Amino acid sequence: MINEQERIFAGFIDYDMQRILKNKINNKLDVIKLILYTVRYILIGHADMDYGHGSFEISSPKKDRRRIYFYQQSKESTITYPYRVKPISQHEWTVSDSFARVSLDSKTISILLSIFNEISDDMTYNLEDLNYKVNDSLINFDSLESKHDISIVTYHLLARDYGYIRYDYCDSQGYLEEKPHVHPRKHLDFNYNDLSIFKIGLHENKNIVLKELIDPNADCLYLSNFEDFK
Amino acid sequence: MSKIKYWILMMRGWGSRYDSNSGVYTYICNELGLSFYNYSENNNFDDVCSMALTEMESIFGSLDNIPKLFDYILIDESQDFSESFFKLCEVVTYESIIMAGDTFQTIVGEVPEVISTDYVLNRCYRTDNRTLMFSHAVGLGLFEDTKINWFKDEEWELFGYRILKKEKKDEVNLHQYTFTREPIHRIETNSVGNKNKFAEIINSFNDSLMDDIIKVIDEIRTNNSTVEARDIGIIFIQPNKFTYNFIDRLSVEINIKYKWNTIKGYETKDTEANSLFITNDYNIKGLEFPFIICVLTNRITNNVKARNTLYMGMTRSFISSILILKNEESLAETWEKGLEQISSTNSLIVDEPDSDHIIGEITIIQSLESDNRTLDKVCDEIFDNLFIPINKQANLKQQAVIALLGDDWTEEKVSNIIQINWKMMTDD
Repeated sequence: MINEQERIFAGFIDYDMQRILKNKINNKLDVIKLILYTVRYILIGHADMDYGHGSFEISSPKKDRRRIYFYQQSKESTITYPYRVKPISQHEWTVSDSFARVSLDSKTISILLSIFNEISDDMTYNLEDLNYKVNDSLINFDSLESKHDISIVTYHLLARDYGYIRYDYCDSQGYLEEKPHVHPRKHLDFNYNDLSIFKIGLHENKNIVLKELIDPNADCLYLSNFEDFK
Repeated sequence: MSKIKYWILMMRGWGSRYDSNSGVYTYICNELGLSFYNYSENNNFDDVCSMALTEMESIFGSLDNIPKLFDYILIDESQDFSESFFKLCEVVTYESIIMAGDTFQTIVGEVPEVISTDYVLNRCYRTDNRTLMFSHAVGLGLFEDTKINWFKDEEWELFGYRILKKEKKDEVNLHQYTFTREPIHRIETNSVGNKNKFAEIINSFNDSLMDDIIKVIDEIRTNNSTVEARDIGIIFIQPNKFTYNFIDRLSVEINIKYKWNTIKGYETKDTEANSLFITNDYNIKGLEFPFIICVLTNRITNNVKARNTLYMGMTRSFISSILILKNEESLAETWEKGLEQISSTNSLIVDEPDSDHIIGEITIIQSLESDNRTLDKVCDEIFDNLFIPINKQANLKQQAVIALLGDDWTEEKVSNIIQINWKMMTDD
């Protein structure tokens, strides 16, 4: 069973997060922006405002294995969370990148968003252009933030593997009556990218708790024979 | 007739190495086989254009022998480019270069050379003439004892002012000027209700800034029943890192109260329907909104760059500009008086300053140049001058300069702190 103590932060999906989550995520830039929006949400301390788009929580079944879970109507998704989140009072939190040793604030988030909004997916691995974008952004913010810090946080976000998993439990889009096992109504998607995505169908009676799937101490799921579903 | 194929290329100035059509400089480097330089701390655009010219000269023997790549080049926002870029364009162009720029965009700098200008467009078709007069006045400090800049009569006229009166005052050779500008009429503002003031000043105390901004939006909505989120722009002048947190919270308030989304101009160039636009100093150009709210969260003093940004920000509206100051009661009163006078007389009445009450041109230029550098850059220059080893620089910057000064830095303060701390670190 999952222990509630593992929950680090809980809040509601806001407009910016929803813009990304309403469609299928298929590139790393969207994952990164989603993470940055959650950091902004945490930093401004409006955790009790429900925008009607669902909720999210950050939890960690094991030290430094932080994940963020998004709960929307008929689907849940999770990615690894790169940042350490700590409460400093009832409504105040700090968020830091322990890899880069940088504490994040609203200005840093805006700088990072300006970088990731300006690059296209095929440019993300071009370090020269990325360096140019980092410089360009810092100038646009008349920034005190060190270029070195912003660069490391940027590269960390790009280099990270997010281990995306999505659990659809009433997905009629793509479901074909004549081919019910090509896109089962209830299924798990692994990876966000079309080049690496794969799907595992679930029996309609089977319910999954995503956190249990991730928890190294919880019971494992077993794959059954495809024939069992027919 | 040129040998160039008929086409029109629309490009940025610089561009990316990976797309030869992405910038004029990139295109020229690619076509003529020149070395391409990316932006770095050691390369600004002026430098790379100069290097390209030198390389061209060495490859082709003389700048006259360089193959032409364009028939014409039209350079927009020419005030943002340097001579070396113009020269670079000139040597690759058959016919001519047409430059369009806003000579008054930097009101606090040197008056530009206009002898070679073919057309001067000195009427502003965006902003109410009274808003423009008020914005010039606050930008130039005309309502205050010390003026940021003062122009000769013909220069005022160049900027679209008519001198209604010029009366000698006292025994000294100084005058009181009464300026005015021709009003403009925009078709789309004819139907706008007359409850909107062309400009307004609000002094916000301590923690009331959020409420005051929301009240201004309420008032705009009350006076204009059809107003939408996209009709309002909010500009934060010289925001510090706390301001960015404030803006994030303001966005949430606006979303909750009006069900309007916000879009931040410093994060994205995309526009979104039904979103209220919020931005900082660096993303003001080209903006135009019926209603502009300018917010100054820091003291403006005689900071030349902040003054210029304030002028730029206030002139982005075509109906109303609202200026919100924070804890600036006395300044707000002074500006309010000036605003009332413009409102009642449609003119700007100001006293010509003596030379002790104008911030000198050299100071202005130095200030503008120094303000263009980031703190990182300023620290690096000081470290180099003091021969401070690289492995000591990060600590000095983080634990002395940033910890003590935060956003409130000047080159002098940074230099003093580094010198004192470096001395303490090296004294036995």
